[in-house]
Amino acid sequence: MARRYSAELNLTPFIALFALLVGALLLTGVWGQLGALVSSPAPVLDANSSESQEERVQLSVTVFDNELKMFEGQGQIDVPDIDKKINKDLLLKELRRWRQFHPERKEVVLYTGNRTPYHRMLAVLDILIGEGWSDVGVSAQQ
Amino acid sequence: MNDTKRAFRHTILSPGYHLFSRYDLKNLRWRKSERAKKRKNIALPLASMVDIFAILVIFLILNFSTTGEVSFVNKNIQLPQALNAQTFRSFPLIVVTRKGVFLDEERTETLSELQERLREIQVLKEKTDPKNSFRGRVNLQADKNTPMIKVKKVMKALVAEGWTEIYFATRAR
Repeated sequence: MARRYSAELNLTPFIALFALLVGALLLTGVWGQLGALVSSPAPVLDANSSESQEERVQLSVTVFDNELKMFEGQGQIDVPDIDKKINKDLLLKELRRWRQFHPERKEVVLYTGNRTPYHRMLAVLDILIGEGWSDVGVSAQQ
Repeated sequence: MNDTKRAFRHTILSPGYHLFSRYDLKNLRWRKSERAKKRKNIALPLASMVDIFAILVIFLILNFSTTGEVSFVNKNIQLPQALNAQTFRSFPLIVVTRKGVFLDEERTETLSELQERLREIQVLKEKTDPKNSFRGRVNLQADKNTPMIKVKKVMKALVAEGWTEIYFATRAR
């Protein structure tokens, strides 16, 4: 006559291990991922200096409350907001045009209005970095 | 009476379990019976508990990260989001809030005090890590609706002290 064996697994150590793992992972979990957008020091251009007279065109973007102004040397392009949001399509279009004319350039100076909210400046900085303008100098000029 | 009972002895039965068999609670009846009392070893159904634990562990492992949050975000500020952010790294942290400017969670009354404390950090860093030259890297946190004038004042103070590489903290999108 065949003997009956208990086929039940002993789950106690298994559950103990799981409980420990859950506790450890809860303590070490990262619930809010932080990132950072880096800015380089913005060059201070003196109108009387010889540098400003060079052929090298300064590319800059000025962020205001309701629009952006893009400067390519003496040329200026306005990028007005759409529905109180940055007109990303037009900004990207102009940045890609800049890229065609200045394929080797990576530096852009970012100016801001005094009352411009911080998130608008960061949104433009984010777009610039995403488009390959990795050397963005944020001006502290008030 | 006895005659009647005798006459219908095949049809009159002694009363038993009263519910209809259709609605019979056999398991309950069995538990109430003596047979159930004899069985002392009651096993908990652990399979569902193990399932829950397994799902929890998998979810938490997916959330696990060795990089990212190396500093606390002040509860009074809401960080802007960014798509192209780098990994947040450990540098001196400056927080611009409505209540003032904080350096490494300690409030600074004036910008000159902030500069003074940054100079101390720079001296300390140069003493403790002389091989790596000072690069002036600093983290900056501010609420997304902070007017840029406040941020620019702090930035100007930082740049004046040589802290030119400013990392603007963002939430990853």
